[in-house]
Amino acid sequence: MEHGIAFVIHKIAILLAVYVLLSAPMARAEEQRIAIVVNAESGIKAISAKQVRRAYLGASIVLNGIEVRPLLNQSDQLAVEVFLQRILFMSAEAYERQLIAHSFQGGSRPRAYENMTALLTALHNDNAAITFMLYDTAIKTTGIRIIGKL
Amino acid sequence: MTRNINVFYATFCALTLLLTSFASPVRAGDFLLFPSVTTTHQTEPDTELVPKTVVPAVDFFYSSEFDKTRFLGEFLKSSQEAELERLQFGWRILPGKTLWFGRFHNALSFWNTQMHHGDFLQTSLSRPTVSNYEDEHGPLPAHITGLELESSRTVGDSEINYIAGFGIGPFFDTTLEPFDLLDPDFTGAYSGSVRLGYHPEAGNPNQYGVAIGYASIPFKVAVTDPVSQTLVDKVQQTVLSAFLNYERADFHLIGELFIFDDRVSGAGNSSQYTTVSGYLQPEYKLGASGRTIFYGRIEATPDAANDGYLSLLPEFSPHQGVVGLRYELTPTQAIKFEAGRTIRQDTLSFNSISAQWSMVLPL
Repeated sequence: MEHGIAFVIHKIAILLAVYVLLSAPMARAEEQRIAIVVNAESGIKAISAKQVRRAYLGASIVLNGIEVRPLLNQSDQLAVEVFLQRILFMSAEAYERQLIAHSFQGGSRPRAYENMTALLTALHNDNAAITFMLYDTAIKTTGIRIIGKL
Repeated sequence: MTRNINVFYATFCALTLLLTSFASPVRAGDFLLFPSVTTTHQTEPDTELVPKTVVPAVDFFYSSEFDKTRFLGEFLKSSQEAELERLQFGWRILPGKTLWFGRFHNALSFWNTQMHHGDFLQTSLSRPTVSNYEDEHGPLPAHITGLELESSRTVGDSEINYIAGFGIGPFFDTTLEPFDLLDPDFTGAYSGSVRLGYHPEAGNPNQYGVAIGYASIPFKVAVTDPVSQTLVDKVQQTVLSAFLNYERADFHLIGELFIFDDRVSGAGNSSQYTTVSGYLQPEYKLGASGRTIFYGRIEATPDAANDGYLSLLPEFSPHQGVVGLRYELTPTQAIKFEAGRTIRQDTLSFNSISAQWSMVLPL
């Protein structure tokens, strides 16, 4: 009998551990905020979630007289996940398909950077560029300015 | 001609592979491959129609951007044809405004400028007959070689865009023959179109719009207009069109309406024909995954038989209805099954069933 109870408790513990492990990234994504950033000298003052979404879907967005050039930050998988979930409201696959269709129709797709150094260099060299990163990362990064906390 | 195509084909493949082979943390260009295999079986074996066809095809696409300049190329190679479909150089002249130079798809047909030659991107297996390309007995100039201005502007939540293109269009030689960059023939005269589109919400696929197009189409050889029975060597075509692309949850509707004004003339004779053509394609995603889409399409050009220009395109289909199913095997691969009933301009009518595997390869 005791052996049976121990067995059940053991199984429940394993299931609980699996649940915690599986739900951890989801919970992390839920908790995180996304910062939209520009370089410190950029003339872009602020941006709304709608404008970010449109810019990343290929629409031409002009802010403070500057046409926004979105850069895709693919150096941080969690930031990408949060961005897709909370700003674009779509899966990575659906977004990739939208970009393919947009590019095929003659539109330009946001440049993607898999390396944070390259991303920050591109951001620093272009006053029209915007990108996204986790808010916690943004506040620790020098030379950039947050124009939206979403 | 064949040698030109082969040289271009090899160069295009080599260049695109070279451009994409540079390892870089930055993704600046897009090289896409759209392979497909389509098989069709048509009834009425006593007619001249081929009962079975298997058509493998690959559509190559490359686009890149450097500062304010852009490049875009699309080359289709299938068991039936090899054609440089698009070759465009663009210059971003102002925010939201790009001036293109080269060979592009005529904006008069919304379908063509959305799907181009990428089979995977279109839900249905077949295209609407009125939006068929020139070599498929399409009645509209689908390719123009010249200048195109593309502009979009957000106004509040919405976006207004326009496309204006002008250049060398096709000539007529049993079908329309567009200007071929790899085998230039300057028989074609000028074609142009202007399209105005409205997105109620910028960045959203829902769109409505109107377009107007004009084409002066000379004939390689004078032919007899089957309606007026006079010898003709030119058609001046004016087309008004309206389109809609509506998406809501699992439902998608795409449709276009065209009003043709065809002035056919030659040897002092002239005839004018006005014909209406259109199609409507509803699509519905089945199941929670959204990987299965059921669709249908109805097309009609009721007065095609009385249009002297359309009567010169025997394989144009004034009446067609299709139903089909698209299933996505993976996010980049789809298989489609389609059944249809077609009545052609030359009065041949047949049923058909088709299957297609298609894919997109982002490299």
